[in-house]
Amino acid sequence: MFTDNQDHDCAVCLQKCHHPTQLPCGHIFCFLCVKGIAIQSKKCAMCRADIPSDYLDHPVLLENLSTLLENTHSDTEQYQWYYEGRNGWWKYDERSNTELEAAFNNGDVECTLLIAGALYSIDFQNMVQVRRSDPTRRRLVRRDHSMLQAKGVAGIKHFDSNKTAQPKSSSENNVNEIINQEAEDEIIEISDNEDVIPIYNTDSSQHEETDDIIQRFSTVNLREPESPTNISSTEDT
Amino acid sequence: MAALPRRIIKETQRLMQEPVPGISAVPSETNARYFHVIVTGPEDSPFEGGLFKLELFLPEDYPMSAPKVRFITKIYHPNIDRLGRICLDILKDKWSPALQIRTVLLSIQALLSAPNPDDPLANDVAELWKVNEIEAIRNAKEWTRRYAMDN
Repeated sequence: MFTDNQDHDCAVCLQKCHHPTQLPCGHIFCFLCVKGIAIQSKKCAMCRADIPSDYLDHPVLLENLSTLLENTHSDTEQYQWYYEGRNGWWKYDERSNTELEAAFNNGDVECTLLIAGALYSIDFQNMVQVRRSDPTRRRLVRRDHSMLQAKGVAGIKHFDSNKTAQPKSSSENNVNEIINQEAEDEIIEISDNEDVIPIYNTDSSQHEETDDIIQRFSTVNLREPESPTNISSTEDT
Repeated sequence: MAALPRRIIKETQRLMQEPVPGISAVPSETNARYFHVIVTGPEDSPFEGGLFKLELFLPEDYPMSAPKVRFITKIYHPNIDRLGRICLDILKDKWSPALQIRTVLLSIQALLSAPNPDDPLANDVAELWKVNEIEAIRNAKEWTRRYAMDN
């Protein structure tokens, strides 16, 4: 019965559900909206059921990968916007891409996007994305043709034949390999706030070293899914 | 001004197209995140007949965090203090991003119908509401007449 919700508006963004993602309580939201509530309130927006702290390590997407890829290669959009992430360029989700493209073609100097509950400014002159609440969190962006090799879309990783990590749980819905890059960032950010890992704090303004650290964390998260969970559970207590 | 998230645009359009009876919320001309709100006092409450002005502001991370709402019109109510601040769980720890401007304002209107002196913000008002409800309601009517009518 819950799958009917896929065609309905997402209760968080009030738009058609985009990469519908189902929480353990059964409620369905856009993938990026789930990301926002899983990081911030940690509760379902409809019923307030707790979202497990490791949910973003293996979210349940209700569409298969081919749908996902078809969506990202729409003929009408000649250009794709990318942001710099772990090991390469990631595509913005289609909705953000449309907004970026419209603002760019309109001659705007910047574009403001609400992504996963956080507000970002994309500065078209310096081609950089800045988080409004924390300007030290910056990423390079680029506008390129949509066939450029990318790591994935908005934190949903493209299927990779030589992948090394398998999702721990193999629910039948979980057909995609999900590497949640933004969520990793959030784990680092939480640690930063709590001063669990002060090294990130001191290096946060230095792009290269930050990347290095993010890279290290990525490795940790990929091969030892327990580690981030441990960090957050320590904080909870 | 920076572009508004689609959600805010959508909510604003719906508020204009399908207004909630007894509630008006109009965005400021200079700041689309700031709303001028008027809530009518509910029938069969001490606030009946009053028009209460409020201000509502959508913070940058809305809807991940709750709108900030405050009464501008003075009101005698145990859960609203003299600065117009409102004691309402959905504006604090019970906020959910699935709530909207319209549901928040409906909840505030419902709070006028059902004052809760056991969870007070205005302690003197709540105290009187508990020990002498008749007098408290008389005060609330008097304040409604004095501050929320003909202004």
